[in-house]
Amino acid sequence: MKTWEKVVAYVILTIFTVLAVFPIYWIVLTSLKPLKLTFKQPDTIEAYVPQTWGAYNEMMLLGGFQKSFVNSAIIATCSTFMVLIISAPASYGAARLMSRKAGGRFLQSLLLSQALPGVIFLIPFLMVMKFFGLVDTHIGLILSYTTFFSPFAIWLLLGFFQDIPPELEEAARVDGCSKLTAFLRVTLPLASTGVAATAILVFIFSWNEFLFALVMTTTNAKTAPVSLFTLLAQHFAKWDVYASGSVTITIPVIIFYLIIRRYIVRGITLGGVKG
Amino acid sequence: MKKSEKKESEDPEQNAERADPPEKDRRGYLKTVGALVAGLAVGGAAAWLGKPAERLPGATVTERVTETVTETVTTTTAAKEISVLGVDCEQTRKILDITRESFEKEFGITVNMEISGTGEIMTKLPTMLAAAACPYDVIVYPGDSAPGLAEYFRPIDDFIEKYDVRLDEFVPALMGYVKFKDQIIGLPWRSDFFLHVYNEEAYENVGIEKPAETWSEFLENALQVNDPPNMYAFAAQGKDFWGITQEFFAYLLSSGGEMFDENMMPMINSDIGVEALTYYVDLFHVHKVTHPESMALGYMEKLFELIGGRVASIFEWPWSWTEAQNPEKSVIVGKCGGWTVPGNVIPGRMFAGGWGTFIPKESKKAEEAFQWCNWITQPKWEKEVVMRKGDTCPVRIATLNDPELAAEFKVFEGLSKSSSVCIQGPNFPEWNECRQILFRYMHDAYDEKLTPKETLDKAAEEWHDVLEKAGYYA
Amino acid sequence: MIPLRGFGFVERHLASLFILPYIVIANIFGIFPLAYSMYVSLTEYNLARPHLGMPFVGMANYIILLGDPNFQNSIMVTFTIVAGAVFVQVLAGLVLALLLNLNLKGAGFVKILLLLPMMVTPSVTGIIWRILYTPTVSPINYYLQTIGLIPPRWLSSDFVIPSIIIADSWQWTPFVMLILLAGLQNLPPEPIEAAKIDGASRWQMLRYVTLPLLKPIILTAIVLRTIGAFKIFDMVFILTRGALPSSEVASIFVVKRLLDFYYVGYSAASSYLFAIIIMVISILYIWVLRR
Repeated sequence: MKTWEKVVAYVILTIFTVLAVFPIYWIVLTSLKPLKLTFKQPDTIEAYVPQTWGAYNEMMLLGGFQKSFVNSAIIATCSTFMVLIISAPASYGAARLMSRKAGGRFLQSLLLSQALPGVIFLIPFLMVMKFFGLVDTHIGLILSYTTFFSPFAIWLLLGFFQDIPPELEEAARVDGCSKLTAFLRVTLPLASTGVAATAILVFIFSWNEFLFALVMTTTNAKTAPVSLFTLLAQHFAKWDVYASGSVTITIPVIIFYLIIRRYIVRGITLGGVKG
Repeated sequence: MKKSEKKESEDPEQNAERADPPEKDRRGYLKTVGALVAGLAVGGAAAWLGKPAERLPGATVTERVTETVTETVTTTTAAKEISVLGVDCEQTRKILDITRESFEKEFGITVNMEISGTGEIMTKLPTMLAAAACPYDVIVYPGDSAPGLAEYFRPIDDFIEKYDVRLDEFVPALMGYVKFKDQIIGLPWRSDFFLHVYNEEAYENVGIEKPAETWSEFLENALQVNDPPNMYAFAAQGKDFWGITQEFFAYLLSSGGEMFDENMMPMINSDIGVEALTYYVDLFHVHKVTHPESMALGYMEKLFELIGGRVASIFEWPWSWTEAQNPEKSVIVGKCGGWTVPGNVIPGRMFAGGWGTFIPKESKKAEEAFQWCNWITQPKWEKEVVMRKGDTCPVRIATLNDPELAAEFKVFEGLSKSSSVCIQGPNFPEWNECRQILFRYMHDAYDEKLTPKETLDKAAEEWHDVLEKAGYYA
Repeated sequence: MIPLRGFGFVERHLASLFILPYIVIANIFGIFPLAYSMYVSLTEYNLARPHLGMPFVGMANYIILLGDPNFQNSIMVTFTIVAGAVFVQVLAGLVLALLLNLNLKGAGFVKILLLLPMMVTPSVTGIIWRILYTPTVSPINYYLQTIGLIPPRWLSSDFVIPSIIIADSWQWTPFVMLILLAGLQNLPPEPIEAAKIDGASRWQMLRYVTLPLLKPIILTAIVLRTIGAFKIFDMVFILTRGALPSSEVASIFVVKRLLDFYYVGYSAASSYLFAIIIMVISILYIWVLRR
């Protein structure tokens, strides 16, 4: 490759990298600067240097943030487990156990359900929850998220399950395993990376979910994004506190994404191209 | 990666091995089972944690130990306890303080308050009430949106009679929000009188001692004090939907116009209406005394322009004056005045805003809830809240005219005058929709895509359609 | 615990049993609310006047919707944003994927940095861009002014659509980049080798070999981002709360009718109408994809 071509490539990459990273840098910075500086023009070096943890302190004091964080953690974890328990068998069923036609129809219905904006369900959902006495409980939200994200998990796991050669399961059955045992002892362990990737993605989606958490929780089960919105909805332009809340919420997500980035693409392209 | 795995598995020997190493298999199996059990355990823990408050007796009592414990031993704790959804502001915090200090002891009722932001409350409450899933006994809600949810609130005429509440002690304009079809559904809690909040120093520097009384005076003063780019005479806020419409109403109402006639026909496109909108658009484009970014400013940003010393006047609610006294954010502490909005006929004639306390129909502790709502608006406590710097938003006429408060907080003079001429705001459920319609059209006017007359005609027409659909012209 | 041979009954009906938990949950929490809200869309349920009940009006809501200028505007806005966003994201994603595929030094590190925006919670993206778009606190405005350019009125009704497209592209271009990069790395080596042997220049190879081979993956990316962009909500809600007509995307239109105007039936009908339109487009895309 000629040098000038390399230079052009580097320049373009650098520009995009700066564009990608600057907003994140800026919000982290805003959370670490005194509020007055945010309102001043950033014309001195002082505006670019982290200075104080004040915003984080204030955020902790503004009631409920810690609790909502814990709530988010609990709800996301349990949703993930529930989704896996429900989706893994369903996905496997569609991949292997059902006839092609039935499986195809099942998957199509899933895909269609993805296109619906979630807002349709607000009031009916609330009524169902109220009927079971689950408003503002962790279970209520967990069940909601299970319903929402199972189709996606089934779709994603499909690619991973199809990737496992049926010969292995055949071999196990030849040795006398039932279909169920074959699934549990052979398929699942082999697909564990895919299952892990799906799990983490579902965790991230549950963590990020906003609208339903907003409407269906008040004190008990308030999740982190809702808490953030509460901060935002308060009177005064406390940009530093909004920023600190934002940063705090995003950190777990970033950590998880870094873990699974290899697997996301495989799952999506496999599911997309084959399904 | 994919291809190499496939190639390996073609080899039958490796195939057999992979399918059948019993040790590895069992470990994988155990791992999955272990994960399932762990998941169920976590799920169970969450279920136990997540039980709604009512099911665990006594679990909702907060960490504070109150003297009411002895009183409530004989009855279940649930009976003498109410939960309140409050809005985040200083007033709420000070009310919470005095509630804990005085109310709970006197009445033996524990008050659990959850404080939330306006946006959040307005997003959540409609769905909660509609699904009959509202866990609060008292809701603090903005007056202008309350009529939309009025049917979910419990009428309190019986309590008013029982506790002999003197409704005439409240500013009459505020009572409008808490009435619905001849029933009282709530008590006023917080008043909001539209004010002309201004930077006294900026005006004194150009020789203007008093705030303008008429609109032409305001324009004259604006031209004098305007000194771009360091000081703009005026700032509007075009981002949040109640912004530019409010000022328009202020001009319209204070100059002899009305928003609706007695048959609920819109009158915003009357001559005075057109005059009002033209005035503001001209301030922006012709005289250039309005902050150029106004259309993108939110109400917070507009305030910061004022208290940052870059804008001389804004038209806002009293909270802005309180914020201007905060030395951490404001450079005009002590130099900020609050007066009535100018007016060609009746200065200050604008509709009153405010919040009220409401009790949802499904609340089972309505009486205790009412006792609290009533208690916090008692003259003595109202004054106490204000004196503790809990905003300047009392709802009783007497408090507004209290000389002590006027001496302590300069803005009370303006508040008092405003409260005496303000009128009741629109009191019907479709008001939100109407405001948003007007907001959109006014943006077009400010962007000079439509003339003021066209803007108001179109808005009035849409208002007419909305009201017709809702059955007001039957 | 589970015997090697399995339970007979379980074995025979394994397929059904495996699907069963999902079906149960989907029915209670999916189908019932769906059916109920479909019914509501055929009524005129007004949240502010519950005493009027839910009078059945048939398809009236849908008919009024089709003639409602606000609905038509919302469709235009949504389509514009989706089209603009997908275009920008696929183009930028392609460029980035091709550049990263060159395996220059430091590419791995750059890739991680480029992936960061995708990892941010959509609500947080809204807050980030709100700071960047508010004139009084925005560093971008400051930089533009220093160069001598006039910063655009980001959240004004003229410019809010590009602003949303920018923010959405910031967040999702890495996603497209990832997919395309993986596609590039999984291309069969033979055609590329053959082209090199035949003496093709880099640009020729790009145009006649790489891109055609990459076509299915590009289409996958387009489909995925189109469906995703139609559902945009969190970020727009925090940026503008849908106050201006130019920012009233589909989800915001539905939410606003429900929570601000209290027209529940109308809101439900609009959500189904949007859903139908989105599904039609998705099916069209998939059909094109299969070609």
